[in-house]
Order: sequence, then structure tokens, then C-alpha cells
Amino acid sequence: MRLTRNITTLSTPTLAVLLTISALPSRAQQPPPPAPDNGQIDVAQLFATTCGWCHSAGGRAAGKGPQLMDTKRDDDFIRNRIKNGKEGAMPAFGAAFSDAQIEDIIKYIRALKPQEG
Amino acid sequence: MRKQWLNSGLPVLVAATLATSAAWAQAVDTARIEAGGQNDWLTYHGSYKSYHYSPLSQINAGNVSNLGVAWIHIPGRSTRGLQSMPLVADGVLYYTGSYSRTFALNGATGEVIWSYFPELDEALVARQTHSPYNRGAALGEGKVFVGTMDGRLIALDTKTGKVMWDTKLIDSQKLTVGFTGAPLYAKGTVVIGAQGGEWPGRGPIFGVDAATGKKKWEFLTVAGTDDAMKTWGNDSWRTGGGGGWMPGTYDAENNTVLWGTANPAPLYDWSGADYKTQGARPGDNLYTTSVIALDIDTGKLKSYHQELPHDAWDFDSAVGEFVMLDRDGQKYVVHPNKSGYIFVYDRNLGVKNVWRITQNSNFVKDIDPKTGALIGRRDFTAGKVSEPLCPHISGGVSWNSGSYNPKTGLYYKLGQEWCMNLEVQKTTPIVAPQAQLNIGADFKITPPPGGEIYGHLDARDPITGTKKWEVRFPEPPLGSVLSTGGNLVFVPDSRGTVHAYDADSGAELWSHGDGTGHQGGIISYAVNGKQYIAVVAGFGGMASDDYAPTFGGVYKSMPRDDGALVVYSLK
Repeated sequence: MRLTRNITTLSTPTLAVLLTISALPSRAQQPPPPAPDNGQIDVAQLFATTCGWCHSAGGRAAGKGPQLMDTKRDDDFIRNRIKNGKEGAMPAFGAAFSDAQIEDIIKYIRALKPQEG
Repeated sequence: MRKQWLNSGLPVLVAATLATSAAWAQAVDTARIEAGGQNDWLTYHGSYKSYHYSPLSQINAGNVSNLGVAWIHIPGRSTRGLQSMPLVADGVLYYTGSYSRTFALNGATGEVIWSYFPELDEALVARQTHSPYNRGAALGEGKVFVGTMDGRLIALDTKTGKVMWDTKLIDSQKLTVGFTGAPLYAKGTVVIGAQGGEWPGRGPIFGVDAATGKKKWEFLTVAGTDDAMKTWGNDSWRTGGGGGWMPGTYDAENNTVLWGTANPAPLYDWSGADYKTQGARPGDNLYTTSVIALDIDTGKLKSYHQELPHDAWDFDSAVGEFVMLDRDGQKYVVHPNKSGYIFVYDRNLGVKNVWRITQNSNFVKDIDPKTGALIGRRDFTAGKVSEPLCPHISGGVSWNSGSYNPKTGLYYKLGQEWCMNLEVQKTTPIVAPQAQLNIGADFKITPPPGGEIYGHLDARDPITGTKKWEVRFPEPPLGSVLSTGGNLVFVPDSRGTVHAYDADSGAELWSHGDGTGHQGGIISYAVNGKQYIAVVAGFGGMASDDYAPTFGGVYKSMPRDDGALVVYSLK
């Protein structure tokens, strides 16, 4: 199932500004900017963008990370793992995605079904 | 304010003890690394010739059965194992562990001379995927140089571990990437490449003044010249990937740094056959998946060869060694591409030959050995790819290094046989608030059609690729290979066994268990006339994390947060 919401994308001018800023090293380690509040997200695309290296076949099969389809973990566990990660096993995405986006990711995981063919 | 935790107990005393090594006071410099002293291992690839070969022969085919553990060092906090290449100068062994922990040890006893644990931005590190391992350091001008995942290059005094300078090179908060690869020291400059590839950045490689830590130059592997900019359609250069995450080498005759660059982002493209005008990043995407020659003083591009134009398979050129050898009056450079194709160049990066080490490969039908042109490339469209892609994303060869033995004239290199099922998906780069991976597909590892996954150590002619012998492994070994003047080839395998083979025949002469899998370096050196073999053990990382779900067995219980440096000598 694909949650058909719009992904958080950036227009080319916005990209240019961001990359220009990012090219300037800063001596002090600043905390990252907060995650966007209302950006909508296409979770299937997100898996193909970022998550799928470890969660194979869009989360349907075990890879470096566990199979997510039919997981017995409850929502609180999954929410916490996405936000905070696990040292050496999974990155923390709490600063990258808003609470609403993380809820979308949980919904996607709950809706995962085997692929046909 | 940044703090450093420095355990500098007894450095002066131990240094005095090691003064039995006559050259203790002699700084490591360019000429010394070029010569590659018999007792030392002065740079990641052994010397600028990048042979991963030690001429030492005290340990040899006749007595290797008497090899035993001399000492062990535990670095602690080895999250995702140990992946680095130790270095040795004048009896002192230097090596790094996860989180850029850096140690100087007495090479004969393992006694700690000093240690240095940089304080890192742990919150940033927790957000990274290809982290927190470190793959090694560089030596030069009385300093140890080490990169960090939070975008810094640090110089430490070789005698005390004191920080000499600490230079921030990348805004890792924004770009997410940092440095995990070893730097290269040559001619007063420290060169280090950023992680990149699948991250939407421009993959810089830096030249830094070894004396002061000031940045001298920066070369962008994505659209780093006006000509290269034209090879990225639709402004895709802004999120193009690239980078140079493993060290290259220095060609003194040409005053040139040779470096391999990473793949473009997204890893997989949906362009179809018309990749020059369609898809995520229309064009050849220079200078990704290329070997580049940079002037070491200025960072200016002198020549290049793009091994895979418009790489749509994540088969970097960032991996591997640059074997510099002479044959019949010709000077060659041999460099493996991650795909398993081995490129043979002249010193100006003109293609002289291309050969393949893998059996299972179908991302192209072939590569023209005369020109390096790709023949019959597979460019995907969005959707399920019908036939598995070979090799798997972990490559036809590992990022670790093979070894060239000038006595046998053979190149000892590991090949990997595995494939992947793939569904290409259109993606959009995520650059805010921090850059995220941009893969462009869902995928899963799978055996080669009609066969099993396996790995193999090949002994081949480095120029022609002619195979003399092969040893097979049930799972691909991921570590580096060492050959020695004792007619031996050492392979640390994934199950945790170190093997020694006869360099001429491939017959196994010795093996020993290190207690956990290997995925890092192996070297040889001598102190006070005694030869040692040093290998890092400790599993976990982007390739090895697939082993437990794929192979089960010993990998199911193998830790991915542990490691040790194990040093062998004759009993």
C-alpha cells in the first residue's frame, strides 16, 4: 500500500540556498534545525530513498535491519526506534522527520503486504 | 569548547625504550614512504607503490606453522567492528578504531604508549548510516593524521598523542557525511576525501597543510570543473553525490595525487537507455566513479578516467589500491573498480587493459580492454528489474585492498560472487534539515543465477589478468590481503580465521582463529629483528551486516560492536 501524500521536496532555488549554506563550515557545532512540522511524506518513496539499504524490499524482508512487515513491535517501540535509532545498528531520524511524518511511517509499516509476483 | 581525552601515560619512557630502533628520531617523510622501508608500514597502502606487500621473510612458507599470537590490543567501543589499516614506524604501531580512537603501541609488546579519543558530536554520529567506523590514519612530519565522522581532520604528535591541530573541513551537521577513510600524507600535504556517493552533496576531496592544518585546496568530485558541470542535466549536480572515501596514492614523478571517486546519487537511476538526457541525473556525471589525478600542490585536475560513465549501479572507483609497477619499460597503475573490473592504466590514466575478477557480472556485457568503453550496459527504468543485478551492491570486490608481490609478479585479490533483486523507484533528494541517503531503489541480496554466493582469492597477473590459482571461500572475505617476501599470502576471512597460503601454489600452510570476523587491514613489520603480522578483527558494517540474515551460522552470534588488534610472531 502506498500512502499517497506528497513528499517533502525542495525546489531547485531552495536547494541551491541550502547547499550554499551547507558549504560553509562552522567551527561551533550548532544543533540541527528542527524537523519540518507539516511536510507530507510518501513513505514508499522514502524507503527507496533512505531506509531500503537496511530494510530490504521496502521493509518486507530482513536485510541488514529486521523485516518490518508483520512486526510484533508496538507503535511506541517503533516510534522510539525511528526517533532515537540504536547505536551501531540504526541511525536516529528524530531530527529529520516530524512527529506526523513518523506516524505516517508507522502506518506504512502496519499496512505492508507481500508483493505480488 | 572541545575537549580531548588523552592518556599520555609514560610516552617519554616508552619512547626511550624504543630508542633501540636507531631511526626513532627520523621523521616519516615523502622520501621514506616512497622507499617503503623494510621494517615499517608507513601509509595505508604500505608505500606509495600500494603493494600491500612486506619484503620481510623471517616468517616464511617453511616455518609459518609456528606462527602464534604475540599480543592483543582491545581498543573498546568497536561499534561496527574494526576496519582500519595499522601503520608502523620505527617499532611503534599506530592504529584507529571506531569513533576515531587512535592508539600508539609498542610494536613488540603491545604496551600502550599513548591513546587519543576525540570528543565527537555524538548526536550527529547517531544520525549517520555509514558510521562510526574509521579506516585508518596517515603518518608524516612527526604527526599522526586522522579524520572524524563529524567532518574534522586532526593531527596528533607521534610521540605524545598531543593535538597539534584540529581542522573542520565539512559541515557534517548539514551534509551528514564526514570522514571514515584514511588520509594520505605526501610532500607537506595531507589529502582526505569525504564520504559521499549516495548522499546529496558534491563529494569534496581536501588538501591540507601538514604543518599548520590550514586547508590548501578542495576539489569537488561532482561538477568540479566547467566541463564536468555540463555532464549533469537539470542542475542535478547540486545533489550529485561523489566523494572519495578511501585513500589514493602519490605519484612523485608527476607530482600527482591519484584518487578514486565515489558513485553519483541516487545510486540507481530510472533513465532507461537514454541516460544522457533522461532520469535523475542526465549525463555522464563527471567526476563520479572515476580515477582522478590532482596536482598535489594546487588540487587542480591534471587527468582522469571515468571508469563507469553515468554509474547506475553503485560501483565506485573509490575502493581499492593503486598498484604502481613497471614492466618492460612501461609504467602502469592497476586499480580495481568496485564492480570487479580491474583497470590497468599508464601514469597519465590512459587505459592499457581492463580485466574482470568476478564470474557473475551483468551490469554490462563487457568493458572494452583497449578503450575502457562500456559495452551493453543495463540502464533501468522505474519498476521491477527482471533479471538479478550482478554483482550485489557490496561489489565484485571489497573496499579493502589486494596485494602485489614483486617477487612472484602476482596480484592477490579477493573477488565476491553475489547478486541482488532490484526494484527501481523514482526518488527526490532530501537535503533538509540534514541530507539523507538517496538510493533510488528497493533491493535484496540473492545468489547468482544457478549458483551459490561465494568468495575467492585469485592469484593473477596484474596486467593481463591471467589466473595462476584460486582459493574459494563459502562466504566472501571482506578484509585486506597481505603478501610477504616469505612467499606467503595472508587472508583474514569473514568467519574469523586468518589463513596463510603459499604464494606460488595457493596451498594453505597455516590458519588461526581470531574469534570474530575480519573486515579491515593486515600488515607486517619488524621490531628489533623480529617479524610480526598484525590484523584487525571485528565485524559489522555496510557489507558485513548482510552476513547474519544471508548465511546464518556463525554470523548469527557474531558481535557487531567488538574488535581487537591481533599480532602474530613465530613461537
